[in-house]
Parts: sequence; C-alpha cells; structure tokens
Amino acid sequence: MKGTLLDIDNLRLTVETHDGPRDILRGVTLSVARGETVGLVGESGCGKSTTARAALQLLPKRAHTTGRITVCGTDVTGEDGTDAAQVHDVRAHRAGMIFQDPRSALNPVRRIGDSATERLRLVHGLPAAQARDRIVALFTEVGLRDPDRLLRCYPHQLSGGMLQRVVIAAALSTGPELLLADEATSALDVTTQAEVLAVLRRLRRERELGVLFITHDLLLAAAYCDRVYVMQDGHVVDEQPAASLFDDPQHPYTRHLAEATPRLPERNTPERHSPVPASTQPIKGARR
Amino acid sequence: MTQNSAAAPAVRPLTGRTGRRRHNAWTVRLCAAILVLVVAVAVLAPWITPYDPYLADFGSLWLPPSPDHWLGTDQLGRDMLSRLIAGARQTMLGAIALLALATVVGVTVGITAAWQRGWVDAVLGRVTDVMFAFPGLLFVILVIAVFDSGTGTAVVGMALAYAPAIARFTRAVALDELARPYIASYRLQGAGGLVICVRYLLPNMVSTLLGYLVVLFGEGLMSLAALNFIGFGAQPPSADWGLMVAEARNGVIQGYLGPALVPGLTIAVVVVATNVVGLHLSDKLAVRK
Amino acid sequence: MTDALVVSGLTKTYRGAGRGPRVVAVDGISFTLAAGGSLGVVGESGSGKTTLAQMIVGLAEPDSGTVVIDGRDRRDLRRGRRARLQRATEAQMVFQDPYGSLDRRLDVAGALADTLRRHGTPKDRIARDVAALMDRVGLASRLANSRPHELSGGQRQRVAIAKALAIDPTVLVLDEAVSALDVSVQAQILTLLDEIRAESGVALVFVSHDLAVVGQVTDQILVMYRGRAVETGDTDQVLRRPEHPYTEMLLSSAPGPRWQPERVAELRAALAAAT
Repeated sequence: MKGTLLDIDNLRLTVETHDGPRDILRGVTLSVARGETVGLVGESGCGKSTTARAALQLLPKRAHTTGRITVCGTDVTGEDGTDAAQVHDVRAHRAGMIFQDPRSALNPVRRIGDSATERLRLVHGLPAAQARDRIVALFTEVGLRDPDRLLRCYPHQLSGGMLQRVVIAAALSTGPELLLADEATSALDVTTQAEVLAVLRRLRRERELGVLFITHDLLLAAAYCDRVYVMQDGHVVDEQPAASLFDDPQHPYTRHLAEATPRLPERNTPERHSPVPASTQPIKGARR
Repeated sequence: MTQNSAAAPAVRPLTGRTGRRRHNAWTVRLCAAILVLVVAVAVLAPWITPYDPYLADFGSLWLPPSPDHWLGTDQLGRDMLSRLIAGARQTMLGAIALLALATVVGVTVGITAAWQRGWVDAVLGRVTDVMFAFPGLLFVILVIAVFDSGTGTAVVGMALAYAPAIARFTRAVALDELARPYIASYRLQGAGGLVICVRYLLPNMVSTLLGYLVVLFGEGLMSLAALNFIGFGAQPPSADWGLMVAEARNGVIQGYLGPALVPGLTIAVVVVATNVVGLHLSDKLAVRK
Repeated sequence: MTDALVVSGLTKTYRGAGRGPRVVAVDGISFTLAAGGSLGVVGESGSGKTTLAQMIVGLAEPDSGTVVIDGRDRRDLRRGRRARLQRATEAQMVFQDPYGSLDRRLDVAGALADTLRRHGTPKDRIARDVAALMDRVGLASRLANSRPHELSGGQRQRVAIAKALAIDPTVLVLDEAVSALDVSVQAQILTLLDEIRAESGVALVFVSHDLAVVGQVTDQILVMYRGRAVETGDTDQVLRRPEHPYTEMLLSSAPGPRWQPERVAELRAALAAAT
C-alpha cells in the first residue's frame, strides 16, 4: 500500500517468564499512513507500549514474535531476509520514538546539546557544528526560546515540558517519516501537554509525518488523532475514526471505556439544576 | 547506545529480575553450608571435642596430623582439632556479641537521627562522622589502654567502632522508608513516634539491614581475631582463633606451619563465606523490594 | 451546625535554593466546607495544592493561618496519645501512590485490625468490624489475607479508603487518589467515594490535577495557581463559565470535542499579561 509507514499484521508476542510463557500480544493488526495520526488506546497492561517497541525491534531477547511488521517499507521482523543493517537504518533514519519520561531519555550528566545532537553526529556522521545548527533550528521550531543557552544546560535545569520538546526535536533531527509517541505527554501538566501537542500537530502537518500516538487517555486520543485503535488484553478490539469514539462507540469495550472516562461539562451552557447542594455552603474569603 | 540514544532509553526487560547476581548458586550454597557447619560446631563444642583443648602434653609437641590427632598438636602439645572446635565457640560468640551490641547502638542512633531530623540528626551525624574518621583498631586500642585488655573490653570497643557505620546505613535506609506514604498514614492515625519506629519502621527495614549485617559479621570476626592476635583481646590459654595464630607463630620459623595455618585459614574461609552469603542476601532482598 | 472544615489565611513558604528568597508554596488560602460537602482543589504541579492538603491533615505546619475542624483548631499544642487519637478522628488522608501507602508487611485484615485497635475497638468486635469495612469499600472477603503486593492498584486504594473510614474522620483528604488508576477502576473508586460521602457525612477535600474528575465528585471547587486561590465557587458553574484567565486556560487544555491545543499558548500569554 502506497503511503503506509507502519504496517503491523497479526503480531503475536510471547515472553518467557519464570512461570512459563506469557502471551503479551495476541494478534495485533494496525497501520499508520503518511500524514496520519493514529491513536492506540487501552488500559495499563493491554500491550500498547509493547506494540510500539516491537515496531522498532526494541524488545528483550526473551520475547518471541510472530507476524509481520513493516516500517517505511522495510520488513523489520527479518522474515524475508532483512538484515540487522536494514533494521538499524530504519531506526536511525526513518522512524523515531518518544517516551513518557523525557528524563530517562536524556543523560543527566551531559549537556542538552550533547544529547540532542548525538544521533546526528554518531549515526549520520554530521560534523558537530552542523549538527548543532540543525538542532538550534529545531529547538526554535518546537517552541523553545533561547536555544543557544539551552544547549549548554543540563536536564535538571529544565522543566518536564521543555525536556519533552528537546526530546521531540532530537527525534525529528534525523528527518524521520514515522514517529511513535508512547504516552509522550502523560507526565506533563495539562496546559503543557496541550502546548507540546500543538507543536507536534504543526510539525506533523508540515513534515507529513505519520504518528502512532499511544495513550491511556481516550479523550485525548479522540481529540488529537484521526483514527483510533482500542486495545484490550493483547488484542486490537476496535478501530474507529476519532470523531465517533465517544458519540458512537462500536465495540462494547470502547463503550465501557468511554462511559468510565469523566468528561467536563459543555462550556458556556446552563448549569445543572441545583447549583448549590443543600449540604454545602459557598466558599468564603477566597481571592478572585 | 549509538542509535536512538536521544529518543530511546535503555530497553527495560518486560519481565524477570533486573538485579545482577554476583555469585552463582553453588558458591552461595557452599558458603551457606560452611557457615551452618561452623555454627553447629560452635554450639556443640563442649560435647564434640575429642580431647581437652586446654590440656598441655609436653610429650607430644608440634605433632603432625595423624589418626590420633587429625590436625596435629601445637606448641604445648594440645590437640589442634579440639582447640579449633572450642575456638569456634569463642570466636563466634565474640563476633555475635560485637555485632549485637554494635547493631543495637547503631540502629538506635540511625533511626533516632532519621526520625528526629533537625538538630538531633545534625549532632548525631557529626559524632558519627568523627567516629567514622577514626581508625577502628586505633580506637579499640585506646579503649583498652584506658580500661584493661580482655575479651569483654575488646568486644565493647570493637562494637563502638562498628556502630557508626551501622548508624549511617540505618539512617539512610530509614530516611528512604520514612518518606513513604504509609508512614505518614500511621502518623495521621495517631500512632506515636516510638510505636511507628519500633513496630512498623524497624520490621520493614530488617530485610535491607540483614544482608549488610551478615557482611559486617565477617568483618567483625576478622577485626576481633586481629585484636586477639596482637594480644589486646582474649588472653591465653583461650582457644580463640586469632590468639591461636599468634601463639603458634613461633612454630612457623621452626617449620611447624600447621598450628598457625589452620586457625588462620579457618578465619579466612569463614570471613569469605559470610561475605558471599551477606552480599547474596542483600542482592536478593533488594531485588524483591 | 458548625462547619466541618474552616481554613483561613493558610500560608506556607519554603526555603529557596541557596540564599535566595523563600518560595511561597501556599499563599493565604481560605475556605469553609460543611459536613458532607465536597471540595475539589485543582491546579498544576507546583500550584501548592499538595502542600495545602498536607497542612489540612497536619503533615505540614503552616507559617500562618489556621485549620479548624469541628470547631477545634488543628494547631492544638496538647501532646500525648489521647490528643493524637483525637486529632486523627478529625482528618484522614488517602495518598496518590497506591504502592507506597500501605505497609507491605500487613495483609488487608491486619492493616484494618491494626487501625481499629489503635482507636479502641474492643477485641471481640474487631473481626466483625474488619469484615464490615471491607464490605463497605467493596473488597471481597477472600482478599482479607492478601498483602499489598498481591493487590491491584484499585484494590489498594480501597484498602486505603477503608483504613481512613475505620477512624470515621470528619474530613477526608484525597491527594490525587485516583490519578494512578485506569479509567474503569477510577470510575469505581469515584462512585465509592460518592456513596461513602452520602452514607457517613464525611467532608471530602479532593485534590487533583484532573478537572473532569473533580467535576464528577465535588460540589465546590478551588482553583490554585502559584499558591493562590484564583477562582472558587460551585464546581459546575466554574467549569461551565470560568472567570479567571487561568481557569480558562486549564479548561481549554483539557482534551475534548473541538479541542484546540493551539489556543493554550495564546491563553498563557494572556494570563502572563494579566498577572
């Protein structure tokens, strides 16, 4: 299929544990096209993060996979003669991954500039000055002010939101076509999350990126993605356009999740009938 | 860590333990077996010594090993095996007393410092630092100079020398534990400080402390042996291992290696065994946490 | 009827880095909460909401201001066992981290029995009360001998709630108590809290970063920003018609239909200009 950046077909994954083999993924099929943001939603332990790791072959040796994973046209499962160099090429040039905790992705004792330009210097063999220029340009693009000063900072001097922007800039530095975002904004404050996602959305449009957006937050997936897969217990149980996720959930599990997710009341609409329950009194003495 | 280093942290395994095992299972089992044997011998010592360990026999000095005397005899013609067995009891009791005293002092100070924080912590910390900076053996010799030489003084002095290390370790573990919400929850329930520390905090720390204490036991045993060797601790005719080495060292020059070598090797083996078992315990308990 | 909880002028500062000025964590917060009422305290990290929660229950000392529960000042200087137990019946807290908030050595029944015993339940009634508490928070009786590591996150939070209920406090403070849970479990815990409030008349202070969750379980809301209460009022009203630019920004940040994350940067600029 032309324009398909990520194509996972009937992926199964079993891990050897002390208590015998355990099935983590039991037949996952999904695809991400160029310029598309695809949500992958589910509760903890459903296998959504494992799916992303499998796509970039970032799994421990004990994991046995079957099925086919094609990333940017390259079969990374190695079944039709792909060698390690090709998988390496995919990871180095074609696909990037962003994790939940930016602090674990950045070496705490190295300056931001070193960490952010590392891929460009080591994998792409760019001279340090050129790598630096490219990162500075990207820092500006992801909305980081004063990039020259940032390069000299250490991770602990930056807020979580700034660090996640740094990580996004570093992931984009090698010009990937596919981005895997695993709970990339879940650890951030809501306002910071919105700002970071606004940046990511703009970059996705400008660069025609395909994004696999993994989150536990159904509301976020519905609001941010084009299409959403719902995972439960190692299976993809549902696939829907994001817009109909809450209004018209197809699968019972999706409906269950949608009902359990607390939602804000509609803005600027009349209040519910009893504005102040009898048991409470208005709050006194607060500043406005 | 060349590719993906900016975006990808080290891959965490999906399952399985992350703790690194230092020794293979058979080494640990062997060492544990040695310790069990030594403890059993120490407990049963009065009943299993083939000869009186203190009875000199001037007709059979420096005998080599034989069916009568499995490990030979020493400079006074005493049976080495019997002395080794009696010495196990002496040596183990000394090390246990040392460690018990050091633990009581160290753990009390450590927990008090961690619980009270503020100036109490600062004062205790300063005292601990000073003690820590002072070489342990030198400190004990000072204690013995002021009081008197003998097993009791040596054990008490050595215990005081070990207490600061235990206090430090305990304080660090306790601070970590006290920061957990369950401790705050006990405080909110109205439990008193002493109750929280003794009934809840301490038992939750035992597993972490245990491995460390086993390692220290080996160290303490060796320090005590050293002290006995230089003559500040147990006095003749005691069958303490350290003292046995000291007393038999004249024989080494005369070519009688056995009487000095046997207790010396025994000390080395027991110390190594406690180290291996202690490290294994702390690794295992840390992983479980 | 006296208010269950009266907080006035609560302020707390922390020593800043190096010799810098003191950092104001909570700045002059005041509110009242009636018995059986529920107040949501919302704000982002660093807003001071957790410090406020800790001062209400007594895990942090305020620099100034008072917390009065059931007409008694929390800064009561009486010491000793009786005073401590008395204070415990005024306020209890459920913490965010379901892994660290239970003693890993005690099983469910053991933890509840321990709490009951401390608060003077006679020996012969403890087993019955433990069973009743477990039933009330929806824990199956077969879990009585399970230790924390054998329980799911939701079950652990139920145990934490049961422990608090064993003391029957006037005020129950929940600090991000459902934030670490999956949505379906979260929904169950929220329902449980509603039931408990209706049954026991406990006043809830629900501290959270999640506006939608607060909207679901509270009647009153207090929005914190940099240690101050920037907006207070009826929860539903505030969520529908925010007045303060910060509340506006928070609400615009929450994903939902027609979400425009791009607006948030503009709102932040507007907020910076306004304050």
